[in-house]
Amino acid sequence: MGTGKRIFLLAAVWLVLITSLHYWRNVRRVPVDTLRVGYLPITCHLLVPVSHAHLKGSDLAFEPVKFTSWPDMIEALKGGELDMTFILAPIAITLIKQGVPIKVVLLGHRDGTAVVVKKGLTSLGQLAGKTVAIPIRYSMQNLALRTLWRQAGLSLQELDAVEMAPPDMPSALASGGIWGYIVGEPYAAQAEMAGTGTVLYHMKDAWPGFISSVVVVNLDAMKRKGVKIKRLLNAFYAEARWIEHHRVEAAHFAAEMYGLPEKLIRYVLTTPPDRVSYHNIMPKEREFQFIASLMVEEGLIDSVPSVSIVDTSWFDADLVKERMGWTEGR
Amino acid sequence: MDRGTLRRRISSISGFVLLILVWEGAIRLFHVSHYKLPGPVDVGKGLLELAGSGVLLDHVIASLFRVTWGYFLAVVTAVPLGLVLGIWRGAREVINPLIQFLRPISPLAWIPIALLWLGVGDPPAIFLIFLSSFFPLVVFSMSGVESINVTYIRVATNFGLKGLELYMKVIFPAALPSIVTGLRITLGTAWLVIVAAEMIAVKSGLGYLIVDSRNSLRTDYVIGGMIVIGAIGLFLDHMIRKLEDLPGIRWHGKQR
Repeated sequence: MGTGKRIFLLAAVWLVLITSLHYWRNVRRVPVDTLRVGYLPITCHLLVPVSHAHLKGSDLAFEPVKFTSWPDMIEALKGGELDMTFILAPIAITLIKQGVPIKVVLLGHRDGTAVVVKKGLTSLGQLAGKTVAIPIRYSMQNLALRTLWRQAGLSLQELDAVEMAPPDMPSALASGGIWGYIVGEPYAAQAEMAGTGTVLYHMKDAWPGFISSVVVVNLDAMKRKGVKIKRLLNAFYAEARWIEHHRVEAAHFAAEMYGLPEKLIRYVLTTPPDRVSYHNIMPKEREFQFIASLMVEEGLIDSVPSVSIVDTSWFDADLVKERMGWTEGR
Repeated sequence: MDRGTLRRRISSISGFVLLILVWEGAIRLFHVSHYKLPGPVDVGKGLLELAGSGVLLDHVIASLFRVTWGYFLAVVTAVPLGLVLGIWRGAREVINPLIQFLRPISPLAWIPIALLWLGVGDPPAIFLIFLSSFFPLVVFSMSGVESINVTYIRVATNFGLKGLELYMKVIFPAALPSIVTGLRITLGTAWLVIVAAEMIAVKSGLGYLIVDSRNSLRTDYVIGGMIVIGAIGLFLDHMIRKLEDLPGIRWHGKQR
């Protein structure tokens, strides 16, 4: 059958052609022992673009794996695809409780979250009975909103919270779909810059030292690549110190990797400068036990995990000093 | 090109022209802000930017690569399975309910499982596309066999045809029209699923382009990506329709 053979041949040629094109253009080969680090394009994960830019070409170069949603990241982490990842603190605690072999080793940053409301609104009480967006139930943003809500003397029954992808929040606010939202930067700053929303609370004022995302390490990877992971964590720690003194340059790296307007990231990092903090990013067990107990209160988990959540044994002051010297001396 | 073809071409192009006019007109009339709906000119500029930097071509290659593998894997597994089930009644009675049970589950529902089993990168995306085509293709080739005129098979067996020869010479060609219809429909579905499949942890492809542009607040790239997906879908459909019109495929007359 001539036609059959021709079709078959054509299909085979196409298969080979498209496969080789794909491998040539889109698949980057990385050394097998390269660490894979998950992140989302938000300023809470700013350590990823900054460290990636600094460490490129060095022996600590890592492969950043970009996600667009938390659930996808969770599955990749559970599947053992990531050596470490930046992830929301309540998700990390839930996973530890589920027995996923991870530990919290570092914080993404502190503060850097805000409650944004429609222009003209001035108090949380005006949101009662109106739709308010949160990123996901298992987020510190959700816990913070509920806490602030109760502190304002409002009834939780009047809180109409919906889950929404952070990039959609500013436009939903502008179009009137929601009356307010709580989110990590830069999606609070975006509404502020566009003039469609006002920041009601910065977490730096409402909840000083607020934790949003944390870095977790996969303990199976730790067994195999422990030395390298420890070195990278110390490098991250040093990079956080660098960010504090080079906010404008850091904004540049982030804008490049995230594909977001540089103006927006620079605004987040500088207006005011303590909007986000990269100081004091060492996690403390006490803080996480508190978050876990808050999660129990809100019914997100049934009890506090019986194992420790935090592990900071990787910290090595000499190594941090060495990494800082290295970064400054580039 | 004769008059009829020319007229048809003009008609089909005028639909697109109309769409662009309504689009631009609506933006001007209702003063739609740029970030809610960029105009045709902005989107065109965005597309040129993407094409000029070579990024667009890379995304197209990535998407076509995943669709090709997912779809081809479905074809080489589903068609033989359908042919066997079409003849072998006992197996069909056992397996068909399973297929009918799995078929209505959207490939999107498999995303969590795909990520857990296959990790990050091309394999889960290919797997989702495979799923979108596999079950319908089994059904199409199975019903293709079932609908074969019994006389054909009786005549063939009278002539002493058996086993593989019976399959290759009679059953497969007779079921071919139904299989080809299945191929066309499932290619459409496979392409439809590409955006969703590429929303999960890949770094390339048209679906990724859309999600990534959404995160970086570039609505013009989002719409640009949609336009490219539509155009390629149109092209794929055109190609596979040519397959349907081949003489070898219209074994017992055109049935459409």
